[in-house]
Amino acid sequence: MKLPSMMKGWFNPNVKPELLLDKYAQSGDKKSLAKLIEHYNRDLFHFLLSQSDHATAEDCLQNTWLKVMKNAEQYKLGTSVKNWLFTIARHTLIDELRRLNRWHTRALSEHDLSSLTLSEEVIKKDSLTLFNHIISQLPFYQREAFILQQEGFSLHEIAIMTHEKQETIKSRIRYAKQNIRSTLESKL
Amino acid sequence: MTSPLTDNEINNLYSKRKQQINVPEISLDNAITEQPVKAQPVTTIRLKRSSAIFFSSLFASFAIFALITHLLPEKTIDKISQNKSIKTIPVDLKALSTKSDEAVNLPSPPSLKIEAPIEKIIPPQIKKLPSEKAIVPQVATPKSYPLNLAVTLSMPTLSLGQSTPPLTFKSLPKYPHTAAKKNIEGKVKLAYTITAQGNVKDITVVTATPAKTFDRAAKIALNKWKYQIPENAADDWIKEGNIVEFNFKLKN
Repeated sequence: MKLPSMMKGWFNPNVKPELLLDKYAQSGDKKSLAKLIEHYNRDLFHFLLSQSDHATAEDCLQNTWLKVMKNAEQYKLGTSVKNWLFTIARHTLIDELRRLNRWHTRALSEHDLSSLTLSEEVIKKDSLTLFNHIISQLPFYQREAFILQQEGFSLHEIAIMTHEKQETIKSRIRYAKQNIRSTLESKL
Repeated sequence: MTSPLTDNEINNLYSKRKQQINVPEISLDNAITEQPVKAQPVTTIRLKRSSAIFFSSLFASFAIFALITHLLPEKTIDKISQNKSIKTIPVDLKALSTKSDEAVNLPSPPSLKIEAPIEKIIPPQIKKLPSEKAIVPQVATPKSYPLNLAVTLSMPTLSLGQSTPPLTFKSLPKYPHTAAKKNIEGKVKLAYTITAQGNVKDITVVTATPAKTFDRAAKIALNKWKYQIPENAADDWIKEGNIVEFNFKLKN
């Protein structure tokens, strides 16, 4: 999958996000920015939404793009745009959660939520709903690592992004997947 | 544990989950009017595919690569188009935002609008949610912020009982960030006991306005205070009923 995705940009330089952002940083071209937003909005919003609630995620998404506009010229061509964007989004989110005094408040309530309750019957019907439920039950860091990995970042990249050791990320992902697997398999 | 879930299935579920959510639109002020952006990837891919077929007659091996690269992303887009919440029909962006009733689980987002003057990078004219307005000035000067506070904190006014041993170490409380952000000022009056070792113990809050806001900061500071105890003092010497008042004030 790596090679074709690299070549995609080679055929049509306008689509390559790195060049889009660079173009925006150089000339302030709104269309490149709009394309960039179109390209990554869903990825970023999904990440933010998974890690917080709807309102916070929207706030953070907006702030993330504002930061991108403000700091576009700090972007260095040759590094991954997606990586850059996710790093910004992550920082924005953590800042916002800290501001709302909700940073790591979830950690306390995780234990009692680990089993499915009344809604179990409803949830059972649909593997996707169940999957969503499981994801929402994962601890913050496991979920973060899992989502970032699903977004196509390598262990090394995630480790840098989250200021953790690569081994830590590896085991977080392993635990996250283990959680998902065991719950899905036992419920379906 | 009948059939172990493969990574592929998890990936599938993940992408389905992603398609399920309703993404709020970030519309740049009059930036996207001329082209419906949603249709963008499809059209470019179609164009590219036809050009790739043309090339394939010339450079066979080269074109196979090209086909692979362009058929792959198109497949994923087809999948997406079958899904409900994504529309590949070229619709006006604003029309899309009103038709959010197809949302599956999540509440429909309000269509956000950033009116950012993109040529200028300074953000003050940005129309934002009310909750953010309050923070903006602090975000603008993050570095000078804590410094300001250190200066503006007023000295604690000591109203001590008679014959209190001399202080040898005094620390001032940190101004709590949350209070500083909300421009809250206040006072905390603490009662405490001095031990034979010259330390402070049994700190209790006498009065605090507003309640609980500055208690912690004041207690932490007071706990560090040291007194010089008279040399002839017994081991169980204590001095109770000391009172100190901390005034928390912002300079501006």
